[in-house]
Order: sequence, then C-alpha cells, then structure tokens
Amino acid sequence: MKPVSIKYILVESFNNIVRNKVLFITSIFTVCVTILLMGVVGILLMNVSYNSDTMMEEMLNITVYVIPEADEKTLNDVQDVLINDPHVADIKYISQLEAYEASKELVGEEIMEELGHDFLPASFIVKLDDVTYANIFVRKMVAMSNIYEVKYSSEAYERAGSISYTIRYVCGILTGLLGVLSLFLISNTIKITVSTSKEEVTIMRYIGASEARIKAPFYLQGGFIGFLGAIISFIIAGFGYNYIYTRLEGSLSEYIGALELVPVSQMLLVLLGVFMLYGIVLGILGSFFAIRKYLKA
Amino acid sequence: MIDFNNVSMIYKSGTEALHAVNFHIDPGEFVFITGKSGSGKSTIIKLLMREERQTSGDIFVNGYDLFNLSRYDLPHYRRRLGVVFQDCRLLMNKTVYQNIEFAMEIIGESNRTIKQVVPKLLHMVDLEGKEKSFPDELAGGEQARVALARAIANAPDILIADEPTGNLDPKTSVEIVDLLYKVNQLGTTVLVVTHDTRIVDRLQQRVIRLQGGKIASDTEGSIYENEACEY
Ligand SMILES: Nc1ncnc2c1ncn2[C@@H]1O[C@H](COP(=O)(O)OP(=O)(O)OP(=O)(O)O)[C@@H](O)[C@H]1O
Ligand SMILES: [Mg+2]
Repeated sequence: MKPVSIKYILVESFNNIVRNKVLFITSIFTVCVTILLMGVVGILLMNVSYNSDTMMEEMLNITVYVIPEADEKTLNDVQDVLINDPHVADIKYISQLEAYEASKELVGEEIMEELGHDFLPASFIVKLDDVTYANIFVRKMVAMSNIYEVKYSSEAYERAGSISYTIRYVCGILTGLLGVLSLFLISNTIKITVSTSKEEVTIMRYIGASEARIKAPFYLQGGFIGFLGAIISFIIAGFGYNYIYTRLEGSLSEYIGALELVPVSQMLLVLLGVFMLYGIVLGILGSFFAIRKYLKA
Repeated sequence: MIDFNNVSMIYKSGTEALHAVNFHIDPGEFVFITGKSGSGKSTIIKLLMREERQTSGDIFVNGYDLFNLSRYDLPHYRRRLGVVFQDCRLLMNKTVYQNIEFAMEIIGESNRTIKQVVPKLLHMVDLEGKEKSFPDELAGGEQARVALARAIANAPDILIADEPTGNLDPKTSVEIVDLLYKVNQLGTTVLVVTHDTRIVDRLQQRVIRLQGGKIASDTEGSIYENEACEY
C-alpha cells in the first residue's frame, strides 16, 4: 500500500477510536487482564525452568546400583545402556572403592573393614532431562539382569512433575478462556466501529475502493487495541517483577541457597516480545472475526 | 458505452421493475431518464452500479459484462463511474475538501495529484472558500455541488446522477444541471434520472421515458410540451 494511503488509514483508524472511546478502553482493559494473567504464569514458569538445573540436582538424581559381583564387562554394558538413553542428561560413576571410602567416613573404619572392600556395589548416578520419563526409566533399569537396585526419590519426581503439569494446564486453560473473552470484546468493538462507519464503507464501495483498502483501518484498530493492551500489561508486569525481584533476591538465597530469580532485564525482554506478539495477534484476529461477519461485500 | 439488451429485473419480492428494456448510449452523450414514480428509473441506476444484478438480458458498460462481473473487477469497474445521489451522501464528519480528497485517496491517487485536482474541482463547482466547511454548514445546492465534484474527481467515463435536483429550488436546480452539462461538454457521458421537467426542457437532450418498467419513448429533445400535466 502506498504511503499516502497509510496516512489516511491511520487518520481513519484514529477517528474511529475517538468516536468509540469507551469501547476501546474496555477492550484494551480485557486484553490487559488476559496478558497479565498469562504473564504471571509465564513469569512463574520461567523462574521454575531457570532453576530447574539446581532443582534437578537436588531431587532428581537416580542411583542405579550394579550387582556387587559385576565384572568390568558388565559395568561397561550398563554404562552403554545409560549413554544410549536419549533422556539421560548426565552420568556419574561411583566405583566400589569410592563407595567404600565414602561410607568409611560415615559409619567408621572398623565396621567397613569388617564388611570388606567389595561389600558395597558400584553405582551410576543418573540425571534425566525429563521428569515425566522417570518411571519408565526406572522400570527399564530394574528389568536389566545385572542391576542390584534402583533408588530414586519417586515422591520428588512425581511432585515436580505434577506441579509443572498443573501450572501448565491451569495457565493454558485460563489464558485460553481469557483469550476467547478478549477476542469476543475486540471483535465486538470492531463490530461497532464497523457499524458507525457504515456510511463511509458504502461510499467507499460505490467509489470503487478495493476490499483491502476498506478493511485495513479496522484491522489496524484491532491491532492497535492489542498493541496498547500489551504495552500497558508490559509496564505493569515489568514494574511488578522488578519489585518482587528486589524484595525476594536477598531473602530467597537465605532460605533456599541454590534458587535464583531470572534477572530483571532478561525477563523484561521476554515479556515485551511475548506480550506484543500475543496482543497484536489477538487484536488482528478479533478484527478478522468482526470484519468477516459484519463487513460483507 | 452503455448497452441494455432485453434487460428485465424482478426483485426478490416478485416486483417486476424492468421488462425487456433496450437502449444504447454512446460515449459523450447526455441522456435523461424520466418516468413516474415506480417506473424503474432507480432500478436502472442500481443495475449500472451493480448494486443489483438483472434477472435476464445483458448489460455491457465500458466493455464489462455486468452480469458476470467478478468480485475482483467490481471496484475497478466502479472507478470508471461517478455517481451523484439525490441525498448527496456526503460524509458529515469530513470537510468539503476532505470529502473530495477521500474519494481520490481510496482509489490510490497520489498526494500530489490530490493537491492539484481538488482546488480545480472546487473552482469548477464554484465552492472556493468553502473547503473547510462541513456538509451541514452548506446549503442544499452547495452540498449537491460537493457531491458532483466528488463524483467527477476521478475523471469517470460515465457520470450518473439520480434526482440531483430533487430537493433544490428552481434556480439552484438550473445551476446544477448547467454543471452537469459542463461536465458532459468536457467529454464525459452523463446519465441523469429526474422528475424535473424544467431541467429536461432546458437542455434539449436525449430523453428515455420509462413507464411501468418499459421504455415508453426514447427521443431527442423535450417530451414535455404535450404532456406537461402528467407531473
Ligand atoms: N429493493 C427492492 N425490492 C423490491 N422491490 C423494489 C426494490 N426497489 C424497487 N422496487 C420496486 O421496483 C419498482 C421500481 O422501483 P424504482 O425504485 O426503480 O422506481 P423509480 O422509477 O426510481 O421511482 P421513484 O421516482 O419514486 O424513485 C417499484 O415498484 C418498487 O417498488
Ligand atoms: Mg428512484
């Protein structure tokens, strides 16, 4: 489209917005609420995944004990199986001797000497890249002939898995529902601007304006609602996160030493991008529905 | 330029507004369409605008077959027509200047062309000094002139006017008709639907008279000397 047209389309869109102020503000507000809710969940999830390495280490280690009488070849076989498993992120081997040395410190030299150097089995400490895979992995390992025992904190696994699932589901459903509500309100706003612009549209059709030229201002208005909604949400979420960050940073490390919040600048960047995309897509989609229904040729 | 071949129009309601109408208009002609209320005059305009499609027969305008005009071609076809409506249909929230500018802008005219052409049009319809006025600040005749300026802004091949003097006093009506004639003299084909015997008499041009959806007469010059009492 030519620059001159763009100027006029902008003016037209602006006039339409001024003509329907209240509606525009209402739909911007719903877009804001939708985006902010999505933002809160997003911030939570981002922080969870930002700390997931630390959390994995704390609770998501699986120890695979090989039978004590295993020879070199058996150990290599087990290691091969582990290496070839696509969900195994990290393996650490602890030999019988290392296990013996470690236990000596815990229970005392005498007891351990009595039991002998090869009383404790060698083991692999395995880290998975996917919490939900843990059960399958454990079953697979137990089924192998040379495995003595598989130890993992199944409760921690399940809890971590179910928490992240719950967050994801609740967030998905809420964002979806609010998204539909925003779509509905945007499309209603555009419907009303379409009806207040009926005269213009009729005249435009008589004069021979193309359908694209007729529809462009309405798409622009929808996009603008989304854009403004995104900007406002971004400002609110940005300040909010900055506040929480400065409040929690110190105290968090006191209680849970390993946990860290996503740095503010990094968070802002992600929020800006995601909010803009979501807002504008929502706005244009809302316009699309209204235009398709109320601006038939 | 305009060809109606055996055109009939039956509305969805079942009213037959036109019945086997035939006429041909050459480029550069000035034609009045007259007839009693309900005789089908506006229907002819709606068909020409392609607001409606004929029930049977063929209409060719500017080389376009109107019955088979595609959605894509419709805007392009309409750009070659200029239309003046009885109720002017100006945009009330735009000034005189903006109303004309708008018509040019939406078909993609450049800013430069718009700035050159609009003052010329305003001069032609004698509205200089009124460019910043809004339509509701204008007299009926002035509104009609804005509508006319807008209709010819994109240099149409055909100018169509439906009752352009419908609400105007005799003196103002004459001004408008003289303007229509001027446009015609500049080479545009002009088609005017009117009840107004005075303006038909004044111009002494071709007159197509409709009666009950059929062409009752198609003559050069006025037809009203003998039947002026009809109106
Ligand atoms: N949209 C429509 N649906 C159904 N019937 C219609 C429609 N438009 C017009 N008609 C009918 O078609 C006939 C011709 O109407 P038309 O508007 O062409 O008359 P006209 O000659 O323009 O009359 P007037 O001088 O009053 O404007 C009339 O009987 C009218 O009732
Ligand atoms: Mg009529």
